[in-house]
Amino acid sequence: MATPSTQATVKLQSNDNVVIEVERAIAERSVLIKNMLEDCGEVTDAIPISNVNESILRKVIEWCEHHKNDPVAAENENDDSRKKTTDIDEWDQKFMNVDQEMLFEIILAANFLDIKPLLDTGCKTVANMIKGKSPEEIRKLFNIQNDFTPEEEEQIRRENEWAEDR
Amino acid sequence: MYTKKRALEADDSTGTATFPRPYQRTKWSPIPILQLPNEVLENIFIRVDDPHTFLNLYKVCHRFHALASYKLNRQRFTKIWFKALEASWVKCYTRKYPYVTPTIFECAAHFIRQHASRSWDKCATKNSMVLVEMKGYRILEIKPGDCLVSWRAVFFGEKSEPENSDAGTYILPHSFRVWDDLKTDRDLWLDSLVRRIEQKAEDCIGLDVEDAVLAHALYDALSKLRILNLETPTVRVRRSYQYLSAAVLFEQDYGCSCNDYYMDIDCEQLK
Repeated sequence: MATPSTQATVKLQSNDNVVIEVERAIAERSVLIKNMLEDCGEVTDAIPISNVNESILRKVIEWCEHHKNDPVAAENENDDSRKKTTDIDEWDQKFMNVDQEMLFEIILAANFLDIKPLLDTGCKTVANMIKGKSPEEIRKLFNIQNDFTPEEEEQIRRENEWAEDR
Repeated sequence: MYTKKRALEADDSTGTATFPRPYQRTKWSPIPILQLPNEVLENIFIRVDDPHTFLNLYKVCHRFHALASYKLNRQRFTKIWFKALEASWVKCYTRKYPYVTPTIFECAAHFIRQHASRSWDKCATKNSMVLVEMKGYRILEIKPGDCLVSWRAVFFGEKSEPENSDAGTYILPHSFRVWDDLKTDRDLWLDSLVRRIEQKAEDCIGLDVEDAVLAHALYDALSKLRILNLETPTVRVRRSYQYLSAAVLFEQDYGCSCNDYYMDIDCEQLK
């Protein structure tokens, strides 16, 4: 009988009912799955990942495979200290070079599966997209409606006047 | 049509708008970014590595405004921003100023903000600006219809008004007085540095986004200084580069004393 720690692979089931078999070590990049496996011991059934569809799940697994040898960041260090702003390594940049919708789905999946480094990389990617943009450009970038009344806009403009560039 | 389940309390040292705002994630939005939960959006916002862009987030929509202007997020942003600044600062300055560490900026921004705001009493009457006191800081509040004088303008003697206008003529000489005042408080400055180091007080200081804006301005000005190589600001330079000359003063007065201070630490540790 295999002990939980020697179980070599686990099956993950996407919300469109596709079962994908992955190395346990790779699946355990997800803290959610890791905890689940620790709690349940051996799991032979496919684990339903109810919030994630197949294409995103494959994408996430691809990321986990590439990063499987990364040291696992010490848990709960000061939460913000892992957030170096700009640098994203080249492979990750390519990996994140997808359309917005997919990017946000990857971020949501990373959030749900609790894969902090992937979540951070995704957030960094979006933050870099925002950088240097005016409010109007940010709205255009994400297709957001301006829901302020002119009065509210004026109020916010005044509040931030102190910071204006000359 | 807002869900006001968790409208934020007005927490605010900056007097941020408190109109009703949807802090909760709306149930479903066709806009992909608005489908992200608040904690993920916050995670994105605090990584924007430029304070002006961060402030631009306030102006995008209600939800962005609520999340970005939330005090905790402002402070998280500022902390991360200073850390990133530290990294780039170390890279470009290590050779020339081996003892000037980026914490100087951190402190400088905070210190100047606190200190200079004290001198604003004098500004108040002439330009019909109103100074409001909140949490020990004085924050410049400009009423509609008043002349445009930015917070930074007061520090750096920049002017958003034509030079011959009332505000322009007043603020120029005044800002140098602010800088001169700062000079006399070197002891206080060093004190605050020492205290900070003693307490490892990074968190106690409670830096906010204003500090990032100010430090960003300083950093920018100092970088330009190096390019233009302005060792001593002449009158002409003072006029055309108000910003830069303020930075020179800053560098001379505080850069040097901090140099000495850090040297002392190093010597002490060698013993």
